[in-house]
Amino acid sequence: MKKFKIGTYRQSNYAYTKLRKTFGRQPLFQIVPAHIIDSINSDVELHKEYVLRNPVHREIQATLPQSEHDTNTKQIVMHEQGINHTEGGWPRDVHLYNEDHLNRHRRRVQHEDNYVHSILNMRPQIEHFIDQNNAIDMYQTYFADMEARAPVEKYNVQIANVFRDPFCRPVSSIAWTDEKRAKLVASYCHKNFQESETNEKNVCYVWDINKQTSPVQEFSPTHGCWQVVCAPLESDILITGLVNGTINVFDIRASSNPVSSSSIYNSHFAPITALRYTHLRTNTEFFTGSPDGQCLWWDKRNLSKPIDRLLMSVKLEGNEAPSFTNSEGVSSLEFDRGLPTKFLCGTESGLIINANRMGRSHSEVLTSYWNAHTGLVRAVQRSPCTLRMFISCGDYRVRIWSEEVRTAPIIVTNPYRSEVTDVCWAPLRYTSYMAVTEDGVFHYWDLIRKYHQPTAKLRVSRHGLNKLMPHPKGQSIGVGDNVGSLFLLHLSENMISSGPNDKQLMHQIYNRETKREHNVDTRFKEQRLKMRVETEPTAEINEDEENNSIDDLEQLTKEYLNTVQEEMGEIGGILNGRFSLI
Amino acid sequence: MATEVEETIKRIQAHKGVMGVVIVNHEGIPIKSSLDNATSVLYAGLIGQLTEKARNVVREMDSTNELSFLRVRSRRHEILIAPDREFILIVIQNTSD
Repeated sequence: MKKFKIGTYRQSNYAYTKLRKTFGRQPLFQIVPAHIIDSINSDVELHKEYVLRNPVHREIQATLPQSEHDTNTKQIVMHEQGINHTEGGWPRDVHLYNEDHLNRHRRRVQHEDNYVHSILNMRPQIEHFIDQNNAIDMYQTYFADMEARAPVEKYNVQIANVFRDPFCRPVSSIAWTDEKRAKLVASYCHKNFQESETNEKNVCYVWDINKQTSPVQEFSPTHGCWQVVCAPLESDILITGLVNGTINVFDIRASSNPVSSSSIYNSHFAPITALRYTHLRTNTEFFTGSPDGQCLWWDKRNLSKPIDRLLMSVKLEGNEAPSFTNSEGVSSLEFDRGLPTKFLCGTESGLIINANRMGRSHSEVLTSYWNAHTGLVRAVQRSPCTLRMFISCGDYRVRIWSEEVRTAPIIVTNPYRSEVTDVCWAPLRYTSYMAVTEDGVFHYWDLIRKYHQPTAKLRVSRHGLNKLMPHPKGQSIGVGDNVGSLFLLHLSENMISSGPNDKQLMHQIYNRETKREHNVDTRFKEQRLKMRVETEPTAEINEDEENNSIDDLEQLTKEYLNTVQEEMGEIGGILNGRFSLI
Repeated sequence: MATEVEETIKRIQAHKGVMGVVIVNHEGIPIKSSLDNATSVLYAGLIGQLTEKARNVVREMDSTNELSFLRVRSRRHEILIAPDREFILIVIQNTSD
């Protein structure tokens, strides 16, 4: 047993005195600086009792300290149950199953003042409605057997899609391919008459109307393309008329370069401004027109030279033969399958020429012409309703003509604010036509509904519009503008198809206007005749004198000749046969 | 006064097509009824709630407005409900004539 030396270790205690009267006071603590109360020194002697331990064995575990603890919450027992409310609301003291109580309560309530007043107030109101119900059956379906009226026609034109030319060239021609899901073919060209020196791209596009970002196909004519037409029934063959007067034929399936092209020596001398298919049967013939004054007929299979040519000279004087000097430049052509031997031609001088291919002499071929516009005729089209009526546009006006009336258009509208660049009839709706102008506006006219202004107008583009081509079904319309944007417009249902009486009404309009023009014409002629008759008496006298003088002259010559004869006879008839009677 | 009320109710019942009259208080107990107890209790409970809902609808749409009358028309008959501050007068009328 070891003994501990206590040694210098003393018990520490601190003694202080407290007065009794200060008992119970709260202790007020003060912060005092530290001062040593006691210090215990280390006892060196005790060091000897201890030894350093080395090495030390220590067990360690390198894990996260974990602990486990479990609790038990109180369980709430849940139970679903329905409540059937049969009757309630009775005050506390009334028992439900006690009839007496119930009745007593009821009677109590009935004697309240409030009750009586309420019931007496509600009475007139309820009697009113009871009577009303008895009087009429208010809730029956009225007008159930009336038929619905035709809905109000709302004209709506909207831009369905826009196809842009990456090179921003103006649209020169638009065509629809002849297939179920028609595609839009557009050609682009800056229409300067000289071929531009800069190597401008001549590429033209075929667009799928649903795909706006890039064309489905491209094709590149050799020169700028002014007109493009799709072959009827064959959706892959395109015919283009170019700026140098030649034709290029493309087969899109084969390549984007022309399959065949006409030779420059046998084609037009000026850019081709119009290109149309003729004759459905063979499907290979088409004809072209150009400002050089001639129309050429071609066969698609053999483009080396044209089948036929015709010089468009109408203003011939006397015996002048048609030649390039007196022919009119062609700016638009119109051919309709309904009249296979005739066609209409719009010229650069503003005439519309009615041509009959079956004529025997030149004057029979170019039967007649109209002075249509001041400036070139940009478009001519026959009406699908009446083939004898056609529409033309040029300068600032659109005019409708009848073949029977030579002097004036049968229907005119106010001049537009800017040049009208293209016009066409609505394909299925007999009474409507559409026009596009240089200020970028698309006009839709309906001659039956509104005569003096367009039924619908739409600002399609900020730049001028220059081409218009409706799809043969009438619902979509391709419109091209001056910076290469091709807009696809959609029309609302009522603008595509005709109403039941439209054709009849249109015919009536046509007949009425033609008759009016005839009447005006005859009246005018009468007037002129009358005027001439009035000035005739003075003219007659002059004529008589003239006649007299002519008679005198004849008589004199006769006498002279007789005298000469006699003399001759006298001389002896030597020179008998030498003189001839004048 | 009470007799006047009785007379009123009799008069209403005498109208053509009226099948029954029930007067319900705001707690949902049928005070006076011309139908049997079970039906009256049914009407009282259901129509009381409907009236309350309708009143709330009108009040919420426009706080200056209040429900004046309610008609529930069904195939067989029409229920005319005249609400009041404390009581509800219900008349069931036959409309198919």
